[in-house]
Amino acid sequence: MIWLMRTAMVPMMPPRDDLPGLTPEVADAYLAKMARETNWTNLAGVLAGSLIFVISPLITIGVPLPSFMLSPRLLDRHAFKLCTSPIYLVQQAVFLVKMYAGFAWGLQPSVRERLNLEPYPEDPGTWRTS
Amino acid sequence: MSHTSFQEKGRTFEAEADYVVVGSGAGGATVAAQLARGGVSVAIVEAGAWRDPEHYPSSSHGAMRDLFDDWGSTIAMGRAFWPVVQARTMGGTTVINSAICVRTPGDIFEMWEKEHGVGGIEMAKKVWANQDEVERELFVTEVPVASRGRSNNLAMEGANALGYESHVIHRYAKGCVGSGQCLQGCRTGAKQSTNLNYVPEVLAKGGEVLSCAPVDKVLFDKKRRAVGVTGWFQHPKTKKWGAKFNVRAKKAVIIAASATHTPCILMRSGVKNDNLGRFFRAHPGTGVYGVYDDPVDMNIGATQGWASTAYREDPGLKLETLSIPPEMVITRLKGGGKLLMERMAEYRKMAMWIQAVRANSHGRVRNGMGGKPMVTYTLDRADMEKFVRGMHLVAKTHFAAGAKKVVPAIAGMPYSIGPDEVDKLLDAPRDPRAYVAILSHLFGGAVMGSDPTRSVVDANGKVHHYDGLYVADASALPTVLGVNPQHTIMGIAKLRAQQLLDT
Repeated sequence: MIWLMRTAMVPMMPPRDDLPGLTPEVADAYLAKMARETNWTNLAGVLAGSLIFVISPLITIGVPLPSFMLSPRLLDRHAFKLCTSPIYLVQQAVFLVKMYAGFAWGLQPSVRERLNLEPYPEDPGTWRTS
Repeated sequence: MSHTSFQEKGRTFEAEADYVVVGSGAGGATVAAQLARGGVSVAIVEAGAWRDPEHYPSSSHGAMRDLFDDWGSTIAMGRAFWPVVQARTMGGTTVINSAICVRTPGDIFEMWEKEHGVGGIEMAKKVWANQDEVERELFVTEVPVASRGRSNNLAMEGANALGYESHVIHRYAKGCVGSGQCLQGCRTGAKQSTNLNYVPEVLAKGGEVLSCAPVDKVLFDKKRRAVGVTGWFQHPKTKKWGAKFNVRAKKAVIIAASATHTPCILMRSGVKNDNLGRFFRAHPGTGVYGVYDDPVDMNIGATQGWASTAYREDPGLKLETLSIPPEMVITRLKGGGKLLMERMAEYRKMAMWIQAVRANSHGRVRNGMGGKPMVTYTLDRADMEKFVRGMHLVAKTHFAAGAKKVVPAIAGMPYSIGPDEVDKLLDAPRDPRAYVAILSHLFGGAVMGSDPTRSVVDANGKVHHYDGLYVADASALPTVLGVNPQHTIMGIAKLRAQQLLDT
């Protein structure tokens, strides 16, 4: 499950010049936490969107291979094409994947430093119990 | 005084008060505090956990997990799917909004009187007097100069250059330092969300507060009189269900659980009224990014510090600044892969300003699986015209402020447009599916009116044909306002409490 989501998310946000991308390691750590914490509707949506990402290169770039078998250049083209799909339901499914990919990407201190922001402190996840 | 959080399965938790208030946001906390000041006993029953600033998250993931209602997964379904933004925490949406304080415009009370048989100048005077009081209690001030940040200042420059009215926002905030973290809860404690003032005041006056306690139903006696509420505690992290709770009301039950949850609670409770869940309304909005030559650093400074209501009446728009964290910006920018990252590399030079439509379109709230509200809503053609006009206005303001390009994030349009191309936005699609928008400022679902065949509650907020059952949140507002609703909700909630204390 995590492999599927990571396979879709990492190519959406690759490193570019001095802006760090989403690394597989960061994605894996985030997705393990996200899968534990989020609700089932969001998780199902992200899984569906990720599956669409993996199986759709034939439709987006005309290559009959799953996304994880594409060359880096084709994978980048596929990621762009799918994220700008004219089909509304595809856009929505991919939007959810991109949103969680963004959450993982934005947690990285190196990203925040590049964008002139302090690193996020740990989210305490606590509340008043009495 | 006592606060009870999640209780494990076992013995049923029992409590009793003169008034039971469901919800602790702008409506619930205000009505509860005002009642407590009147010397009666009050119990607040809140679905979310009670988090203080030291418990607030910093990241967007944490905000969705800890503060938003069901991970922000409530979607208004219609021609497009637009998320409904609301919180589920002690203090409700006052914890995650930008604490913007705008008095109820006089024309709203006139319209309510004319079209719904409620409101009028007498109500206006009382609500405005209450708003005076709220402004003092919650330290309403203009965003300080030092906390405005470049994005807010640029917006003011742009509006001035175009010659339309705009202003620095007044907010419920005490000593804002411009940390740009309103949406994740203000960790500095400057924002005066109701979990920091009115709810503790209820406790201090001997009230009972339940958190992690989503209400399932209102309880009635044989004469259709509301006598309490019931539900099960829910663990805020694991979501597992805990003990049952019953909170008995000696005098009345007041529902203030939001425009989506209030109608659902009333439906689940068996309240019969054909208008329940109908006339759900909102201020749908979206952002336009301006890209400037120098860094704007929109996350430095107040999350929202500038607004204009110059177009509130014609065509029906509100313009504001809004800074959002980079992880949310990257989601909204078009594309994926290296080109997306190239676009995101301009983040520091971007300012996001938004337009929200004073929409006449209305939708419906129904009870979904597991008590989750299901919202159906689509903007009609006339409102889409306003929407497009709003995009155009915001883009023009960016260019007037010196932006070198704007990024409208509209499907079917170029990624960015230059100053000479701004009028292309007037030809933008009228199809809501072309936009990444959100529904904030929710209204209706249990609307107020004098005619029981066209409304759910009367002018005093009492549910038609039921005794001891009141609504005191935005679900009772029969129209949108064209301004941020928190102050109106609070002014009317105080009025509800005063009316109850007088009876």
